[in-house]
Amino acid sequence: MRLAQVIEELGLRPLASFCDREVTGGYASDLLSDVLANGREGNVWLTIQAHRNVAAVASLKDFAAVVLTGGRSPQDDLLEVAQQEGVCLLSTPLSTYEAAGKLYALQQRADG
Amino acid sequence: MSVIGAANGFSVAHELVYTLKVRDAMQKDLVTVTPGTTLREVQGLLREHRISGTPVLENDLLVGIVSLEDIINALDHGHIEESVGRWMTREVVTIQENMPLRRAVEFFQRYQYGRLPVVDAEGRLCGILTQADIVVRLMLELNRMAEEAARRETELLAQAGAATTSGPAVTMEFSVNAGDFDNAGIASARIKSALQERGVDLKVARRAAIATYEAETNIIIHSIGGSVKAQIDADRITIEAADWGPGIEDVERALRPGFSTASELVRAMGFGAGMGLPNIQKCADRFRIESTPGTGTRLHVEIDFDSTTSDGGE
Repeated sequence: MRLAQVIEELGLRPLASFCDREVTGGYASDLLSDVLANGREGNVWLTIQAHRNVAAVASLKDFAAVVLTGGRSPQDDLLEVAQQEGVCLLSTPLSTYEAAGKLYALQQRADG
Repeated sequence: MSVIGAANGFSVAHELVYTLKVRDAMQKDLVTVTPGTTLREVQGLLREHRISGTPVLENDLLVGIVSLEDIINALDHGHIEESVGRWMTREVVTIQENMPLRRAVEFFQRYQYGRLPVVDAEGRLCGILTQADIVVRLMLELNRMAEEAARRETELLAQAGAATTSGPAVTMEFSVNAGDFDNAGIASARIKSALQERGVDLKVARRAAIATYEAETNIIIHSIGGSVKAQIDADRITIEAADWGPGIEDVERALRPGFSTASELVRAMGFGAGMGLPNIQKCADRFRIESTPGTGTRLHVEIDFDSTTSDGGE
């Protein structure tokens, strides 16, 4: 499935410009080390963390996008670093649980 | 409105509308009605499928098209309960599926229709095409081409890098300050790109970056300050993270997944999961940690460029 498709189907709000690419799945966690260990390249990462280290982790793991859940807004420097690192930053009013459910269902449909 | 206006020179998009066929862009899941369907039913279908018109079929033959405009007129003039057959547009402009998309673009420019029914060589309806379908197809195609170009570039870089991997060793050093979360990730990002520039496998570069990131954040969270050094040789990268204290009381316990001494504040930021050292260990081909309480901690990590160790995320 493509990132543009994920953005459209989940009704996500892009916080900055982004580059469409293939999405390999998702990972939902707020613990950075957990994300570093278990996230995969091309994943969409769902988190409530909204500080600049989120962009660093997303860039290291080559994630397709970061989704700030629960309607959280990024701290100013997160936006800035995300732009610099080319990290796609999105937001949603959905909770992590709801967004993960929708993403999972979409992926099942796309794979099936 | 036109999808692609008058050409200012010859662009990739223009080339694509010549090479792509109508069938490459059309929607194949069709909603159709028959002349006997009532306009009221059509109204429901259009709303349900969020479309603005639908072809009318009789015995598998295309006999007309009914659009949102017909529905609005029907509501206006009070014939919404009547059948489609009486009010549909019978003069339907169709396009063949094997035509280049360029032809469809011309059709949309010439006629003011929102959608074109697509037919096969025998004249049977096989799809429907809107201007939005063309835009989506072009975007996907452009994106595919951009990815292909990026992939080729990476290959070329890797080839160029392979020649220099055996070049002189490179050393890098970064100082890391206690509590300086704002600069976490700088050393790891630089090391990752240095490795990529040398043509080192992306997975290996990523493991080195993750190990460095965890080492950086450890110094930021737990120490009074320190440094990260990296040496890139022909066949491996060596990362040395050292701090000036206070040192780890029980190293064995610190290596246990889930164990952390991080403060509540740090944990609230998503650090201190007790996975830092275990993550580093998982990424490393060789791993050594020395710590003396009161003096400091020294971490030594080596990652081979041809190694098969996984970071668990691959």
